[in-house]
Amino acid sequence: MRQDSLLSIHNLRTRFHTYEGVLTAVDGIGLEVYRGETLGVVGESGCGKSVTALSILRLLASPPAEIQGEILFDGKNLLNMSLNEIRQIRGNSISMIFQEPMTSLNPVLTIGEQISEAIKLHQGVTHQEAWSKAVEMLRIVQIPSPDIRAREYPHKLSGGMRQRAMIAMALSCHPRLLLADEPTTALDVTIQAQIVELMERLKEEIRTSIVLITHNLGLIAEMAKRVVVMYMGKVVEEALVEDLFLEPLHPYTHGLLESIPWMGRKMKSGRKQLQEIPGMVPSLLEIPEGCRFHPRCSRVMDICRKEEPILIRPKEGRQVLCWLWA
Amino acid sequence: MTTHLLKVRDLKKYFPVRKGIFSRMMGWVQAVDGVSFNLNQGETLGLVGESGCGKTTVGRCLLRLIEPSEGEIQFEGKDLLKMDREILRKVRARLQIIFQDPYSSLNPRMTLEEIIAEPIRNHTRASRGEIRDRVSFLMEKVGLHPEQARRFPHEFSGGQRQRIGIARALALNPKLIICDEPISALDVSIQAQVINLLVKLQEEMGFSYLFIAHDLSVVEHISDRVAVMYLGKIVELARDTDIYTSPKHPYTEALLSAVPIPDPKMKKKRILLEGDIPSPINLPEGCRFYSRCPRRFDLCKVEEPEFKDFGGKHWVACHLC
Repeated sequence: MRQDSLLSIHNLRTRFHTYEGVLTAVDGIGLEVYRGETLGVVGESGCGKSVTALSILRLLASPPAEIQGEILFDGKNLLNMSLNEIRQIRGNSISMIFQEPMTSLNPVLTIGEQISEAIKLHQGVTHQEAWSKAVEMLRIVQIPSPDIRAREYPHKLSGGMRQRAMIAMALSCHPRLLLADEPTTALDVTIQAQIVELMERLKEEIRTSIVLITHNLGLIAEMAKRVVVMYMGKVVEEALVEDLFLEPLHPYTHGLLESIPWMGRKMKSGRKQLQEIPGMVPSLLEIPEGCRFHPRCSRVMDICRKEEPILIRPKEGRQVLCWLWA
Repeated sequence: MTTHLLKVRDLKKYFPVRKGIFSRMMGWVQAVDGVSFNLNQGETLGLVGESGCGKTTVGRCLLRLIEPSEGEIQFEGKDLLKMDREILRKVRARLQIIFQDPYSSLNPRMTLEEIIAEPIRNHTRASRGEIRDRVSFLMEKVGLHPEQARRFPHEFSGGQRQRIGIARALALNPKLIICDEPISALDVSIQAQVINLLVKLQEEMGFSYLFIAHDLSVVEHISDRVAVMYLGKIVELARDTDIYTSPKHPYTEALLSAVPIPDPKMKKKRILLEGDIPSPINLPEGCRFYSRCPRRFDLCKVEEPEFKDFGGKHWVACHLC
């Protein structure tokens, strides 16, 4: 483990006990986040990326959730901490922002009150001090007239502003790690660009590492330094962002990259047809035998149908869960 | 010269805003404020813009699902807004729509067969056997198994439900299909499947699409021409390659630069627009984009720019041009 490792996840397994059976949303994953970097976590619905983030901060009700494994932060296992200890960490050293700002902000508290709440809790300052710090945070995230806005309720703000307010809240105690779960998906593209710029600037100023969870590969290309690709609860590939796009190793990663339209692609390839991944993601109640991706894989081999692949490290900084590279 | 399949002239839709106990008129939401464009047979026109630009309202107005306030919609040479309802009903067989939400656009109490057959039953006197055959044919065309015709929508995934919606839209061999954000609710890998399906069907059957979406990458990919909307107006309309390689309106430029490209080597200079999208109620005089335009000047504040052709079928509404 490198010296500058901030978060170290080993063998994380998060299961949900439901009436239909046990659903394993995250099935034994490992990943590292280093200081000062943005780690991208890419995958489609149901791959387990959000559940991973929620597991880190233990934001899942247990039961029905059951989390096993090791999540080391500053050398301590977050999963072994008491509730009190984890509360000291939430909003303080590790913060999270969510996809839908309207449903993640408390509708009956003003923006200022919500941001001050975290500050008062973790920094032990007076109400007035917390309030002025909250207003300062709103100014930092470029909300105009922050002192007036701080007194407003979330519904008065636009989507972009709410997201900024949530970022302000998450960064108010200068966390060392920010978990950003689809932070721009609900926003218009010009607002998205503003939020991306904001997050990058704040990352530099506050020296926060970011785990950026998204299905948007363009966003990953812009913001992430390293990327982890998830499929049905497993990490199927890990690489530096340039390597991932230039030379994807896992057929799923390759399929994803080939299937997205991007500006100018049609001009280059000369045709409108995209390379699609056939079929759909199976239900977690019907996990395929062998490699989970094999029913949809264009390069499937016999062994893929029978045995689950092992994690292989073909080169420095790269990992892939696929028999093609064994 | 080809006659256009669809000619829209100065389309307007204003929604009244009422406030207070007496529901007093406070103003108008100028959702669509003078939109004009043509659409040819077999062509895909993309209509792109962010929240509140009016693109969805334009789509609904074309079918008169929402009644326009003003304007002209010529479909196959006849003005839809002047037609009486009975004739309009028959014309609608050739003018169909695919909706955004695959969950709310299908009646949950109807089987697939009933859903796809409904337009056929409404518009033709086909026999039961003929309908069944047609439904099987359509289901196969969109990649569904005909044996599943007796199932209900909730038994299918989002992508499959969208295919059902597409089959329904194809049932009467339409000339024009309005696609209102048909893939935004779907996962990335399913989006590609649906895009490919839409392209394939168009190649086989020769109809036109008005493709409405906020995702510029998808719109540029599927369209032959693209219209960019902002606050109820079209600010630029050009061929897909021209929009991408030589945008003329500052909003189009900003939109293009904001779209993240899945290529880490292309770290481009983003044009950041300041502030939020203004409300479409009580718009100021002059150009609507004035408050956020990085290249505005005095004239922009007082005079609305005209929507003009700058050669090569490239239309722009901007004083810079």
